[in-house]
Amino acid sequence: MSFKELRAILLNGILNENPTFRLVLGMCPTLAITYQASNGIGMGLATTFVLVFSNLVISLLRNLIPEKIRIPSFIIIIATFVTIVEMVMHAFVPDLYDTLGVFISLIVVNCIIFARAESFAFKNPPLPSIMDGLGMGLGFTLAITLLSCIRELLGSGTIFGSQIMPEWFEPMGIVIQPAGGFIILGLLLATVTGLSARAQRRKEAAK
Amino acid sequence: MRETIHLAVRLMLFALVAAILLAVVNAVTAEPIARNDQAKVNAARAQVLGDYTFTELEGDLSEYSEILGVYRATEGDQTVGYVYELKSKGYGGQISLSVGIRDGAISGVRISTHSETKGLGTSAEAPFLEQFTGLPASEESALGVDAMSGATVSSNAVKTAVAQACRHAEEILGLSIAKEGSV
Repeated sequence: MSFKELRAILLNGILNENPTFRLVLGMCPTLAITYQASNGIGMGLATTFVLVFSNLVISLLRNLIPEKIRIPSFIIIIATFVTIVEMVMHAFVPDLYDTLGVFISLIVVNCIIFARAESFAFKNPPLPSIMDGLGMGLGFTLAITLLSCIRELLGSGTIFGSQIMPEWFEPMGIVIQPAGGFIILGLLLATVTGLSARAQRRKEAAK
Repeated sequence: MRETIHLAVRLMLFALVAAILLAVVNAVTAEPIARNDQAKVNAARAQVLGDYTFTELEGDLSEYSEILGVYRATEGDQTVGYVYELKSKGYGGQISLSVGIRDGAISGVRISTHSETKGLGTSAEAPFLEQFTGLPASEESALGVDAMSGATVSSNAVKTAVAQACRHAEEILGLSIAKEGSV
């Protein structure tokens, strides 16, 4: 597999098939944690880490897993892997665990991991699977960090904890609540879809 | 039929390997994890009082519904103060907090876990808790602290818990309360 193809797989997760904006996967953690920019980064990076390795493991084992029991097998593999990561982190990198620990256990139920195992890693060799996990993870990280920056800015007047908005700005409490997260997410989805539709039309007009 | 059995055995093998892996990792990590958690608990106590040796006091706490444990802080064989670990019912669930009492005054209040509405009370948390520091360790002074605006239920939960710690300190430990302004 050439370098170009691998790069295409990586970019695919960030742009064309961005898990949040295009596939609309993993909405539960997205809405729950994106009230603070630092949460967005933390959740995103933890997910990327798990995604890369779960894709790798599933891709390596893909010839051993019978088609009919692939879903329960994925669950076993992913849950085991996530638990091991959590225990090792808790034991040897407690500082990291304090910031990412909450997210790690949430990742077990993040459907992006299953979706990529099912639709990519199960059918592809290890190297492309790693790139797919990396692309999807980075796409997810970028998307939820953007969302959480907007929510933190409007809801608390800060970004990454430092004051951005002027003194007279009254924070909008609703934006920090999951309901407000839903509204902001909807607006972002509409913007991204609108922009990509316009880019598509331009491309066609240019032809 | 044969295929079903084959699949079941295969799945069982996966589960077995997973279980063995988890058991091995657990055996390696269990001890450091317990040590880290213990260090964290000690750090929480040290933050409200100071870095001392803490020993749990025995005693009947059934009259004090919110107190989980009382710890005596000692340096050498000198008692320096007491730390209370409490739980209180907030707006979104349980709030766990530690309260330090030293020389009849509150030396610090710190929240370890809570599930209150994110963003409403959390931004005012630090200045709110700071108000307790230095107050005489009596019920009235704990209840007299100003609540965080927009988070009255959470504030009251913290206040009643601190007040209960002060009541216990006075009634059971027999500590004398520092006079207003003397600390």
